[in-house]
Amino acid sequence: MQYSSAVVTPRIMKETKLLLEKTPPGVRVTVSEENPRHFLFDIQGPPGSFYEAGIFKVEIFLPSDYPMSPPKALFRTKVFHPNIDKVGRICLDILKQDKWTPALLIEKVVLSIQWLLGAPNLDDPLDTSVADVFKASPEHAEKTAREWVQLYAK
Amino acid sequence: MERENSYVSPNVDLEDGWGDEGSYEQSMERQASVQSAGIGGAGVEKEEVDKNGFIVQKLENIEKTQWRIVRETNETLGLTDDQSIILLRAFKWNTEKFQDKWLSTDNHSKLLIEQGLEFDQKIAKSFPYVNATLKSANQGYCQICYSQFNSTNAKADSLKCGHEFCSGDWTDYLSARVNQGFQFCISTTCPQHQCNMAVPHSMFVKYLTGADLKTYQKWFCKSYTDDNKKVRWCPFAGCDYCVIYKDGGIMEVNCKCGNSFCFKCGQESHKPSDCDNTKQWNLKNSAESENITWIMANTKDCPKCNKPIEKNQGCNHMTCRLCRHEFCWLCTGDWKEHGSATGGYYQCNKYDAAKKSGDQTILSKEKKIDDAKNELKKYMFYFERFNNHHKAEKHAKELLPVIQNKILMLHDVKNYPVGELNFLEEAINQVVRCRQVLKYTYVHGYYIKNEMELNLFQSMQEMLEKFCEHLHELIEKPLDPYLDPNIIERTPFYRYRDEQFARGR
Repeated sequence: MQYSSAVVTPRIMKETKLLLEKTPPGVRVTVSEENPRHFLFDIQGPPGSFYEAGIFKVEIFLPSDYPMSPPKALFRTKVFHPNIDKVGRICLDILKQDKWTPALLIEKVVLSIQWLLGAPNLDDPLDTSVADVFKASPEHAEKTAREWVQLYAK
Repeated sequence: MERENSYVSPNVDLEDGWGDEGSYEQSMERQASVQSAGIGGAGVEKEEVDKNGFIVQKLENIEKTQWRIVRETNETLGLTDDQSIILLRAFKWNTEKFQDKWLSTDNHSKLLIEQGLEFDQKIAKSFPYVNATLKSANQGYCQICYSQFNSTNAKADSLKCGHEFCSGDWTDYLSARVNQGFQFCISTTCPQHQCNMAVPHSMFVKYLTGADLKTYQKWFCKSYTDDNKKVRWCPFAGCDYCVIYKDGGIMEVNCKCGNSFCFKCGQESHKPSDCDNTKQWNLKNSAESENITWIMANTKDCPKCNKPIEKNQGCNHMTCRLCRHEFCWLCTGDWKEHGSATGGYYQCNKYDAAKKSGDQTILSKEKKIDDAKNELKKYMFYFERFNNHHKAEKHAKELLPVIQNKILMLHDVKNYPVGELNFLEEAINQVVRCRQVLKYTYVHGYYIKNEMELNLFQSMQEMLEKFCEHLHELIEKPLDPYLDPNIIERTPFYRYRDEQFARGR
């Protein structure tokens, strides 16, 4: 079976259908009208975390060889988090080629991103300056994170 | 072990296997046909060990050696191909170490689980969804393409863990892993997330075809050669020979591609210089460090903004282009302090006075600059000569086909016996070899500290250089005068030959 960017494969159709019908809790999904391989998610910050009151926009794009290659995901909302950088790139293992497997789903990616918001990984930071704040003074980090939620994620 | 594909592995004990010039596909076909005839025991090998104690082999022959080891392990320990390959790789192809480990423990399943050869129940317990996507639980849908398993083109297949995927998806998945590169290929696991079952050799062979299969074979071989300390690839571009170290102390390999290299460090042959010095030298040639030495030798930093300034003309009154700071080149002091009191505007007796009185800061600065200048001079001296021989070596190599052509012509036109003409090729090869050695004598010389040793070394170097230059000159002489069919007299040619012999040896 040859996958191409123009074609929506049965897998993508099935996944889209599943996403629209059984959207996971705390998530809203919109499929781009121009490109069925382009998704926009509104992800609610996990309860109990610094980000609990915020709604974060995350863009997901399926490359032409999906699911052999991982989807590309990007935060469209500014967020103060050690594993998400200024332009919204995300440092998450399953989004990397060596940890991604074709049996994973867009849904799993979205849930992992939501989980990442609640569990910042300080050992593998993407934005070291943010990680330094998290390490040096968790109170300060919490304050900034909550401020950013108020400023950008409402 | 069941074999579903006609080609699983090449047999190792082929009668005519060595020195075969056939293409890769041909040899694969032949291997396949031998394979179907059944597997025999490991036969006696014909190995071409060269005079330095190396075996230079093509890729497919390396693969045979690799398979021989796998087969031996299978027989000794009662394992399958797939198990042996993965376990041997884990032990870096150190058969003894692996066998010791295997025979000294009863807990084989632990070893098998570690290497992804058995399904790890612990993972299934800690990640429940690893179990949840087994065929029974996923409603008959393939987790990759989402078509139903019982539909026409979706034949389900799985590893021991039971995670089933369509055969087409297996092909796509393995092809993607292979093309992502070596590291991805050899660490391929079951497509199920968190499942650590390793995808074995037989699976790759079963689902890959054409270019993908070829790439896989390459990685498969690489997994053997890269981890093995006794095997090294020829480092020259475009050469796919592989060298196995047998025994003996000489570390210099003459590869079948015509180049020679050091087995120990993988650099071009560098006798008489040693590996470390050569590495340092090469680093020196490529690195920034020489620029820095030059900057130190020829510039001074602006005392205000610290940017290096080269003084290429004019007087001692310097004005920094960047910060407009005015200073004296000699003492780097502020220009304002200079005037009639310091011996006139364009003189700086502050500098001389400081030098006379032995001002330590100025003197040490001076010394640093002098050292750098001397060091740079020495380096330039050696590098120039190194580079000169390097270029000459290249030219000599380019001359080889020309000479070979001339030999044929002399044979055709003048009927000289080929045996009498071989000296030409020998001579050119000798020149190449000499140039190579001479090139690295300069590396060796550069690092010699002892003066007496250096003197002796230099006189020997000079001698070799003299003979090499002479031989090179002789071999570059046009052979055309000897090709004139009207001249029957052969004496001049023989004189030419004798001269080469006398000088070259």
